[in-house]
Amino acid sequence: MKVHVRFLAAVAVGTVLATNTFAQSLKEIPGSSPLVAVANEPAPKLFVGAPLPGPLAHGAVVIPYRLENFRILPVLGAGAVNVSPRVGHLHVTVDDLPWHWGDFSDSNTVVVVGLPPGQHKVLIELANPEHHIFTGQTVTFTVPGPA
Amino acid sequence: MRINTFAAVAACTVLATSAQAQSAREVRGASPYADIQNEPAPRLILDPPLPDQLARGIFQIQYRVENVHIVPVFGAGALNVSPRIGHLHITVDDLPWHWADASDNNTIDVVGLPPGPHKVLIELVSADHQVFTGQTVTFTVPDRAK
Repeated sequence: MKVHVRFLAAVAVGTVLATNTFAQSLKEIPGSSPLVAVANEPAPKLFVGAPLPGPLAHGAVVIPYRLENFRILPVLGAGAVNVSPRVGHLHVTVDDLPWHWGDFSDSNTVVVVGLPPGQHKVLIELANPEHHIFTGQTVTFTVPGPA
Repeated sequence: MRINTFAAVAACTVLATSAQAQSAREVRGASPYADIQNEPAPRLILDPPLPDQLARGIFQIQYRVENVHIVPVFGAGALNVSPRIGHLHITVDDLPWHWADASDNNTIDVVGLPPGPHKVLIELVSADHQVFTGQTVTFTVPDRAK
């Protein structure tokens, strides 16, 4: 019985250590809870990577992106502009076309398939629920021709 | 006396439920938690574009699917998932390219198309991009200068 108690104590100490480690890393994630409003939330940031080379070689443009201070949700309109933490969505434009589509998928990836061989560009913009643009980034790339 | 009241309340509850509410399964489809033997073929149901939005030059169209669970899960390894999973491919004006939409948002949104006739092809595809079914919607973006 005594041994049993000691064992439990050791497990408890181990758990506390583990908890401290986890707690630190969680704090490093800004805006980690959607339930708590963020006062003076920093400006939204968008980081767009180059299309993944493997799929691109097969003509599939798979563009990874990452966001900070911005949650993608299908929440729109003037009533949502002041939601905190901030919500919005993406506008995606291909090759300077006059139109774009709204992307609410929050899948960290924009996928475009079937672009003809040659140079192309994709503009990814962060839009607020009323479609005002916070920031955007254009990625240019070349779709290879048939081998 | 008290028992009689309870019985009456219970009867009302049953009546109200059957009169008003379709079951969750009827409206939302099968649970993604339990596999389905011999799942029926995928279906894609499209409404007309939202008329008020189209008048402002915004193409927004609602959809729903049956017998496909739309999720951002891709590749050959996902083909045997049950219930069936998939996503949408969306093509504008017969362009050779499309984009993938795995949002399951029930609405597709395209903004800025020039005035005139357009078409949008919406395809319901497997996780490995084989087309189950598709529909083309034709519509006219009004000339906003008028």
